[in-house]
Amino acid sequence: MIRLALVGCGKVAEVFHLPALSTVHGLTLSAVLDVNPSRARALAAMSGASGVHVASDLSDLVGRCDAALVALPNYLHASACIPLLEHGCHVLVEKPMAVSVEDCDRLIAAARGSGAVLSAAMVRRFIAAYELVRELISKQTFGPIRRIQVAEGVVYNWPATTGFFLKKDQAGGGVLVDFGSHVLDTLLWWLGDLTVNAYEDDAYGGVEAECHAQCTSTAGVAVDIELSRLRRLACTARIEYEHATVEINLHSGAVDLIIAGTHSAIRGRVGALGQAGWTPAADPFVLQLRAFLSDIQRGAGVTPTATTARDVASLFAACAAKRRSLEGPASPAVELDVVGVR
Amino acid sequence: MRVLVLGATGFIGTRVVDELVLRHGAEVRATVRDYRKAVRLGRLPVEWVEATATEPSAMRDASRGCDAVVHCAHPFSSPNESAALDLCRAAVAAASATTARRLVYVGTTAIYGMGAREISDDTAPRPDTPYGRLKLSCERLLNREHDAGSIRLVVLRRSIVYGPFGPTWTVLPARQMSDGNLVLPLDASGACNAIYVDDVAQSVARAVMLDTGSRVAVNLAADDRPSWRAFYGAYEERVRPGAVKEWPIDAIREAIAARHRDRRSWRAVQRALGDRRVRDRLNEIPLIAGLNALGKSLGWRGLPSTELLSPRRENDAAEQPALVDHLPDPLRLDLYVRAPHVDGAIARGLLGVTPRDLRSGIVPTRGWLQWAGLVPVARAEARPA
Repeated sequence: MIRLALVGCGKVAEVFHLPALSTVHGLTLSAVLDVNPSRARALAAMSGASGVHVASDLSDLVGRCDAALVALPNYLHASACIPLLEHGCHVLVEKPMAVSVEDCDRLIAAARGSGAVLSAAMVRRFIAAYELVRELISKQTFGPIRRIQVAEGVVYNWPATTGFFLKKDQAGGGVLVDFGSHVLDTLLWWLGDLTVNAYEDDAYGGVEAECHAQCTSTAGVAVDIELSRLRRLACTARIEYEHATVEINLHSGAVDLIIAGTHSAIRGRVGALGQAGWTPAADPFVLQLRAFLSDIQRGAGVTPTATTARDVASLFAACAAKRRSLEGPASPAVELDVVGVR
Repeated sequence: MRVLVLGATGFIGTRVVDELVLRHGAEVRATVRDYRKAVRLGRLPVEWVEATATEPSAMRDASRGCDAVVHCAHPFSSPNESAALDLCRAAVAAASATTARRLVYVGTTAIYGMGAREISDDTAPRPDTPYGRLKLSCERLLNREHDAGSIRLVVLRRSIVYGPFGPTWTVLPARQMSDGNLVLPLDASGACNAIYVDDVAQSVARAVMLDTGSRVAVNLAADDRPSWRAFYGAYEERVRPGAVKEWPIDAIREAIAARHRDRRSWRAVQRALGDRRVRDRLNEIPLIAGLNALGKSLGWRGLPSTELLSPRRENDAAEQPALVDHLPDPLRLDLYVRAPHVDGAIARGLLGVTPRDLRSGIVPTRGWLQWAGLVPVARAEARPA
């Protein structure tokens, strides 16, 4: 049985990871740690597990866990994960693994040094539809891709327990770092590599609420990414082939197949096809923890999600290098003669 | 210049901060209670103050080193007089600790009530709504503090504020026109007094810099005097032509009364239970789920299904939902019928801000509605397959 510590007891831990953990055999919650001890105690109680240690700091976890699920504010990921990895503690860290390439390198070096597993929590890789799209792309089922359009936007309503996500020094960025961590990981997983050609966002000294990136894959596929925390966008990835378009709902995993030249679409849920017929896919958070357990058992070391997280951080830097102001009806600068920060 | 803004995450407050930071290069501290509402504000380099805006000691700390305080907060979650006065006391505590003791308060023309035909800055307040009375109490508290010398007060009374992200006079009518008809009284003769949000924000920023020790209380208004029909017509044209319906006032009153009667009837319960989401929520309550299961085991069909209440027709899926008639609430009806015209000439001269007319203000507002996806899908550009 692998003893797991929960480091960071915010909403994502409460709403997603803790319920998933209770269903994964082979992992048991042994310790919880949060800057707010009452929050840690509350999650320990919610877990239903007995004998969960409420740790006072990271050093208090040593000897009490074999692995850690780190769900802290972004700026604490490297400083919390590196000592854990150096002690041989396996780490599954929430996205973004780190915002800078340098921090990613330090994390990867720490994992390689001790042989511990380092994995980034890219839960969308465990949504069956994402895997299907990856197969359709790699096998060129519908031929070569002409274009990919990704649009993900919601009016922000995540019940975060702190406001770190709006603080540049703590979050490292806004919607690009937040939703973009998932989107860029997915695209790199599907396509291999991306080059940023143009990037715009609406930050004026703070963190962006909207951004738009235009990229190209190594195979020459044009990729358009639009992200927003201010408005509802389609929340789809639309992969256009010459004779068909596959559109995946980024959140529900529903998939549309649109044959070029028709006005109809085939929409379906993606599940597994086996001897027992079609079965729905399991909860991706459960699958993610099972994969983490499997990585630990086979000594996987630095996993592909962690190395891709470094590539994602590299794309953040490329976006920053190409950055231009995104003007539009919701820009803070709209109709203002700006003399202040840019 | 450094300014503390109370209510910075709201519709007006966010644009006040944009104005102060981007146009005037000010440093802004912003009080925040719920970061989810602060995503727009987070784009600027504001300093966050995680204080409940009703703790005077916390407010004094928050405003230390500031030159002025802007108070555009309103206790929407518990809109009672005591909560609003607590906010004002906190604003006074904050302003009295600033170098200039300047407090700019965003008030409302609702304090005047609907009795006068024309409202100037000197019109005697006679509020006839709970909101107007509450805001007048706030002004009176702030006046006393000004007279006692603890603050230097500027009150800007705004009326119908519209523009991007505006909940009451932009998002709501656009939504109502999208899924139904917005009902106005025929020949509504009340004044609309619409003012674009950026003009309010610009006025607030100028008021922060106003160099006077005297108390100032002025009304903000544009000079174009649009009718309510013209105001909603400006949205209607873009959202759904034909969405504004003008009914005789007696017909509106009768429809409101009929709706009240209907909501007290068993049919209202049936309609609610006909909604699968409502049934699912009810079934989350263990007691109801248990009774439902017991009932089913005894042969009762349990919570009624949609099919049971309204038999499904063959072509339901292809049918468009019926358009709803959005009737005005009593407050809006009163505004439509007898709201007096507000004169904003003194503020225009004092602050040097000339609020744009509706024709100018509606252009960016419509652009934003399109951007926000509040224009119906049918009117948006069709995407090629």
